[in-house]
Amino acid sequence: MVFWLLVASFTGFTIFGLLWPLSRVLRHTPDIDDRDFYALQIANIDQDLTRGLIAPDAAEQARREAARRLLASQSEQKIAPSDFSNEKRRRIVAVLLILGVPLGAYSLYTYTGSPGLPDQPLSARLEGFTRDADLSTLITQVEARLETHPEDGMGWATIAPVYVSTGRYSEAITAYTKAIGLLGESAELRSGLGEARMAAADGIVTADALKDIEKALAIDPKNQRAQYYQAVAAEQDGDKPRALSLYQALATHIPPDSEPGQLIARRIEALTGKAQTALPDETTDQGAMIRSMVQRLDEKLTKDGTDLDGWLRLMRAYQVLGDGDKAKAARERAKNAFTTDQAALAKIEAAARDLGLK
Amino acid sequence: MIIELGHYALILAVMTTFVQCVFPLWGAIRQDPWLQSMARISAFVTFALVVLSYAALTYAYLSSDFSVANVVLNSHSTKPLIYKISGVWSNHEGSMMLWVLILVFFAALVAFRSDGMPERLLASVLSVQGAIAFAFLIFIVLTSNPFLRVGDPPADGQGLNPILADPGLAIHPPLLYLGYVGFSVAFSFAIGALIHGRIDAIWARFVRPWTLLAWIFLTLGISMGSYWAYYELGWGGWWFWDPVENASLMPWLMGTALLHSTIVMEKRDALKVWTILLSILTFSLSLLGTFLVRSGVITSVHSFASDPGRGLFILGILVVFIGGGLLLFALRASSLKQGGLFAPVSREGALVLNNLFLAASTVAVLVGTLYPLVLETFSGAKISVGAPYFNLTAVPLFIILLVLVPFGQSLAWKRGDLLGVMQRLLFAFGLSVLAALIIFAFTTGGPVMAPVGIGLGLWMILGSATDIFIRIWPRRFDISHIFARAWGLPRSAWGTALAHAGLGISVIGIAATAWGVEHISLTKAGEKIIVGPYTVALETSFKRSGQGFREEGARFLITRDDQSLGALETSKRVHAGREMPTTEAGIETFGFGQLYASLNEILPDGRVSVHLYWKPLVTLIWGGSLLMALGGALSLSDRRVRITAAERVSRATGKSRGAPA
Repeated sequence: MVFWLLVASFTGFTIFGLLWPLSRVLRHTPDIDDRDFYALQIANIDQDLTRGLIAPDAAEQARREAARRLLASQSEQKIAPSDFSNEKRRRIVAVLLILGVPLGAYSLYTYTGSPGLPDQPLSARLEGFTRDADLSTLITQVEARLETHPEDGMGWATIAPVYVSTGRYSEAITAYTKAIGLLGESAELRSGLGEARMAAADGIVTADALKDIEKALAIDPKNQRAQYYQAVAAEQDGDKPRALSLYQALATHIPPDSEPGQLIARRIEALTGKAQTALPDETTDQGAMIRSMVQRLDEKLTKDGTDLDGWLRLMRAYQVLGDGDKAKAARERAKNAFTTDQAALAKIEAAARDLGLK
Repeated sequence: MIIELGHYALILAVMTTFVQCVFPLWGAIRQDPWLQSMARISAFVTFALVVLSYAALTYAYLSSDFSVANVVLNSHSTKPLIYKISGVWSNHEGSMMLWVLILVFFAALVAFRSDGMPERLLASVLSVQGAIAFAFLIFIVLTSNPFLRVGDPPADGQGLNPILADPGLAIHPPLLYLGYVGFSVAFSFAIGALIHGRIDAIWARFVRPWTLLAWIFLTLGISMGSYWAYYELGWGGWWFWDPVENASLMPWLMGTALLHSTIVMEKRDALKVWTILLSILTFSLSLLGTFLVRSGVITSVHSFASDPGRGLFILGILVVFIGGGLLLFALRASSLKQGGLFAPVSREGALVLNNLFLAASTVAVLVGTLYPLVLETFSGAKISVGAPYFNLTAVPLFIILLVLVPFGQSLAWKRGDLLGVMQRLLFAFGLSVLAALIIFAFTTGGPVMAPVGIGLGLWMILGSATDIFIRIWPRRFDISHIFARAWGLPRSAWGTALAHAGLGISVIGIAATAWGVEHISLTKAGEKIIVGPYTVALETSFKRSGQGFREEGARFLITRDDQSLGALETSKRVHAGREMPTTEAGIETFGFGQLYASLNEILPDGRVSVHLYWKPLVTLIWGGSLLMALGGALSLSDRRVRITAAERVSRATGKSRGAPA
């Protein structure tokens, strides 16, 4: 409420300021013109002459030149006199301003702005995530130690997954590689390296990542992370039956109510084409909110189709909402937006396979 | 709430610039004094709104408000205060905000300093300024909005590009923008005059200070940018003919031409149509520069934002303003009254020659900058036009121009005496040639152009000195007389001499780079490397960490004739969260020259691979450009360039005295 009051007063002051000149009583003041200008120039020449800056003959010559141009400018036509009569025009302008400025500003602002969203300065938010703050100091400490003790394999192994979770994927790859070099091969580190490579490639299990996954499985065929990414790789390759059997094999070892268990269950459902169990219901507030969010994303991408991640999110969102047709349409639209970008097309296709879109 | 209000203020500014564009123009066409007088107030209101908006964005940076997407992407909570402030314009959105802030600042300044300007001209000028501001504000709001929010603010931001985490960021972009955008005033004046169909000496008198102001800022901006690139990129060069550098050089060359042609127009009422055209072209090149940098069509150190949608939008703005300006020029120029005539050998004639050379070199730079782009569009081939092209095209034009400058400076208006000028300049010319010959004789192995360059630079300096000398030397020798005359000499004359001498100093600095020494060494501790007159030896290599970065570097000891002269430190820094290391060059200044060290690599066995340079007189390049800007400032302070309150008083007296004449 306070926000809208302030917005209204901003608008009011602006309109008031713009309209103010229209209400003034204007008297006609002559503008300076060329005549004044040359008259001034002649005065300047006289001044220079008295101060001895210019020789008398040069002064005379300059004065004659200016006087000649002064005369020439006098013969020129004067500008037409100002139009003082038209009061109707001022009324039109006033009405246009009073209606147009608030309307234009309001519609543009509600289109681009987030009305009333409060500021969120970091100092006010800090209590909320002291844990994260601790994490970043922790990272700094470990980094400092690794700086002086780069031979500390355990240090690298500790920090690598933290890098993955904070989105610093390439540093995670370096850390895993160093840890493996120092501590020797292990299924945990290898599968972690594969995961980091996958994350760095925006979720695509690349050939490099798959090699690491396979190495991990060679060391320990029961490594769950490696098994999971092996299945994801099969799914991304389009080998659905193999992906399904791998997921199902994995599911038998994992409690179904745990987070990874649910993840796997969702993948299996997607592959077998069963409907989602936890489909957000449109009748609830949350469902409506999610739908409106998806709607906004869709509109945004319609206007500006250059956001690849946005397209992938949109495809996934429609699929999760059970709207397979729209998901497929989104895939086609995304492909149209990236007709020449082979890498992007490959990602779109991979994501579509991932979602089980035909 | 502050942020959303800032966003709203920005959108209100879109509205007020629209008002500023439409109604005063309507008033100017219809001769309605009320509508005309809306120009001034709407310029002030717009300025106030954009300041509010910009302040709100700065507040978001200062308070590390990560609910603002722009802050998340370009800031970090641990960033030092100065980079939180300068970080606002370190990115595309923020720098466009700065661009518009400066644009509306200039419009407000024009409105503020408009005493004595014909109302109708003021209304047209501010209307054009309003149109430019409107276009860029719409661009910001729709495609580059810095106020977009994120629903779920992250714990911390992604930080500033480490190359930009430098005091240079606080100085270079604002100065450059003040220059770029300052030329919009000359553009608006030109369009205003074309709409008016009238162009007179008053017009020139009003345009000149704005052009001069923009030129001073652009000179400083380019020069600071060059020094920043020199010490931060670690390549040891000070000019790379990089497209973005060219984008700032082109308006500078054209603006320099404009600066000189407005003098002719003010003093002699000649070159009117040409001056109008130059005003349009100079700002067009500023816009082109903005387009090249902001659209990401070229790859360079500056392209931190590339987005085809934005590029298309700016291209649209470019087409409307350049195309519209030139179209209006084509339609209306013939109706403008041509100015006075003059003999070819005269100050005017020399300035025309100056204009031709500057325009030709601008074209040479333009072709070299745009040709690769055009070629890539049509054939897909990627080529890069580098120094050899520019050395063969633009540089010879510069050299001829430099030879001519002192002549033009000494020629009289209207009808000059070339023989007399040559006699007067004979001493300066002889001394410069002699200096060049002596240097040529005493240096061995250096390129032949270096002594020529030194001679040219001296010629500029001595030529300017001669001009001042002749003007203050009385017929009868009397020391007090000399001081009186020196004091009485218009400041614009001192400004001209200083600026031309500054150019000469820069030329000497540039020429001396030819004697620079460059070494790439793989060295171990204690080993002596001879770099020019100095001996450099590796003392130690180190690893350390500072705020937000880790670095490994090497420390060198400098000696000359067994005298210790301090140390050089150069390092490679890796900033938190960033992959690319940045090179921190080590620079020590001796006299006007500099020792420059740039680390390549520290090998595991402790040996250090390093690039070492000795650059004699290199600081003169930037020192000279500072003098040029100072000369411009001196010229600007000349009361004759401005119409002030004091002069309006003298106008009244001038009227009574001048009328009978």
